[in-house]
Amino acid sequence: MYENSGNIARDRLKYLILKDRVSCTNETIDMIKYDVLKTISNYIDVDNINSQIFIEQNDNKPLLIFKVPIK
Amino acid sequence: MSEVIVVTSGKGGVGKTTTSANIGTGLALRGKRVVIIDADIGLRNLDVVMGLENRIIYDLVQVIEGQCRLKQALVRDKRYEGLYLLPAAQTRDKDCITPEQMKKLCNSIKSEGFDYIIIDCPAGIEQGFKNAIAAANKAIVVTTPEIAAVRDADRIIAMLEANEIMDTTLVLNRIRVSMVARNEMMNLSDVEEILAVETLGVIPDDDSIVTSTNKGEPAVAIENSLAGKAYRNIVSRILGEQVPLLELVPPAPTPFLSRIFGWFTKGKG
Repeated sequence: MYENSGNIARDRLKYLILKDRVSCTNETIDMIKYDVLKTISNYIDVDNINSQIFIEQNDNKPLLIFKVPIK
Repeated sequence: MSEVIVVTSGKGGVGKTTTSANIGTGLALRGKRVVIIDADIGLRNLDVVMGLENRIIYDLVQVIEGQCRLKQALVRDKRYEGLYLLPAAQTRDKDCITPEQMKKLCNSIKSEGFDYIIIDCPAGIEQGFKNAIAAANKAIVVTTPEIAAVRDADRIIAMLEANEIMDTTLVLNRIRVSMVARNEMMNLSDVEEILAVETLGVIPDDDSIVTSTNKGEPAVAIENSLAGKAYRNIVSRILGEQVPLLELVPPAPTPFLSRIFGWFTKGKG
């Protein structure tokens, strides 16, 4: 789908600013993911492979989101 | 009670100096007593934008170092009653003054009974920025609708907050209306949503800024300049008046084109 460059700029900027504000590297994200999954696995059976972690913008505050499917 | 407003941006070349000159001049046109300080030590430019480059005798660093009195260094703009420039030093660098000295300087300007002190901040986040914001109780962040400029503005807004400047507003500069209309440029709401600060004004990308800067006459004083009107609105808002944002509409299509447009819009009201 054709996208106007104004929208592309806005989306790139949003992601960039999010990363700036959180100042969180990809390695850190991976470590958080590993630790959280390990902790949850102590209590319930989860699908490690299909788990996702990402940061989103919510009301101008960064939001850390986990998607952890339960087996 | 005088107000100290720093004009800042992070990124260079987005229009800090032009904005400082226009806001300062605009406030003087509204009868206020104003000092505009060029805090960009080593890269002095505000004097040129204001057309006062041939009138400089002393500079800000010389006042701070006690080589002259404040009154000797203030360049009075003869065209606008109540408007003064305190020029930056050209042959020194930003590390030669401290935030404390800047505060002291602004206090002595305040005691001369000025209504507004406008500080033109240098680009960057180093010593020059720290000096420029030290005495400010308000900040105006200038940005353009580009990723790099808005990203830097976001960093600057966070730093202003960290330095306890809570009254920060946004000037979105150099909007190209026809590009925004085609959605090929970020618009005000995109930038507002990301930066989450109140908008003080929007300035269209306007040839009259180039021509007025060429002549050293701020656009705010030019009646038929669109950017000048945008700056006059900003000045009114600084003075506490409620003024709607300038409605920026793309230039009307030629008669031939509008006829074609007419075919598509007919019957839609």
